[in-house]
Amino acid sequence: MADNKELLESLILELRRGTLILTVLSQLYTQEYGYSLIQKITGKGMNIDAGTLYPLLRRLEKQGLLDSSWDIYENRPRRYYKLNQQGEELLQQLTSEWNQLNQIISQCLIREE
Amino acid sequence: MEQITIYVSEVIRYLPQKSQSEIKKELTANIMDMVDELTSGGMSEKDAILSVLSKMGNPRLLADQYLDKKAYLIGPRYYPTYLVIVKIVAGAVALGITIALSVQYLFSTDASIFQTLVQWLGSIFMGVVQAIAWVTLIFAGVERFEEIGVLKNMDIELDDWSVKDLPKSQRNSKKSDRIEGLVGFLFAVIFLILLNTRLELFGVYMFDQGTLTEIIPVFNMENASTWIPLLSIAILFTAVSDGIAMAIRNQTRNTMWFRLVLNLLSFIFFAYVLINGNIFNVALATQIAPDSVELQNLWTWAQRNVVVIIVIANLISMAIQTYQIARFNKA
Repeated sequence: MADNKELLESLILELRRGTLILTVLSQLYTQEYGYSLIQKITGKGMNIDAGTLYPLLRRLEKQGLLDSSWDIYENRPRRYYKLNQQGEELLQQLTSEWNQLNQIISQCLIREE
Repeated sequence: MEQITIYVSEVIRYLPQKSQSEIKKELTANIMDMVDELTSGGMSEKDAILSVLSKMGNPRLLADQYLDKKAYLIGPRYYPTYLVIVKIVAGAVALGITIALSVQYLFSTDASIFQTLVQWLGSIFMGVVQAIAWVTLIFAGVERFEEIGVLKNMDIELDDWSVKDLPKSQRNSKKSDRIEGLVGFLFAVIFLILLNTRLELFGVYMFDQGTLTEIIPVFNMENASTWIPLLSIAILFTAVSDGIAMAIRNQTRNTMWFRLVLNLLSFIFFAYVLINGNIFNVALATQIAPDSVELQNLWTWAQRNVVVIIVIANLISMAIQTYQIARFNKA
């Protein structure tokens, strides 16, 4: 039984991993810094590791989907990220892909007698 | 607070210099935010830091996430081939060393069996370790080159595949090609080892009443250091080409072209060494039989014609390969 639980956890992790980028991009229409983004995402019920998110933000920026800037006027300097033009376009495409996928999978999951 | 600084510096020490200060600033700020959140809920700062850092996990793993690099040396695509090649190369090296040392022992008058055995074990160990290291290095190189796009073109056939690319009928001749490749590969590796370690074994063995008195070298020992590397490169190209024939079950147009190029390179090196290398022992015939004019003529003839024979053999084999590629294109 313990094995089964472990397997389930690893499968869930894999399932979520694929949706991570879509989730992150979808929350960046307004600018966010690392920790505020974590709060925003977890506030919507999705768990995300800080150790996964921070590097991911830099990677998405490197891929040209996000713009970033330092805000040094707050009491703690923070790096803010926001979708740019290319990021928005890609997010829209990903979103429609996700919606289609969702429909298809819902169909697949209906148990036929 | 000090723990955060230490944690962050543990992360960034694995990262490239140019991104270190940026990530340091950003990561520190994020961690501080997370700590603040916990302390504002009533937790002590010490506990909050401890909790946040353990949640962030091993600094090394976090650094890996930032690096976004392949965390493996040889990926799943090449691993099966890698295993096969490692086994065959290690086996061939071991076999080559065993043959070399057996011959040395049999014809040596003063080597003890114990001494030879110790030498054999030592050589096998060193040889096999080196063989594995080289194969690993080459495969890791292929993996990395592919990452930066040098080898991307090799994959065209994988991506642009259509049903038309299927051969007209089932190809059954592959097994013989692979065995041919294996034999050629083993032969090349063993020859390579003997050439570089026991050159003196290539010779005419002179016996006097059943005991070996002398091995008269076929090759020119005096300038060996100038031609051995060139000849080794030529053999290496052949070995890789045979290795591909042996290891890859389904030859594609690209692997066929690749082998053709390797054989061409090998041919160029062979031809150069044979024509300009002065690799044979000119005095071989005189040393075997000082008075035989016929033998001297024969040896002179042989030295000249071995070049012609090898050139013709190579040309034929390359012509066959070209024909196979043409036929493959048609199919």
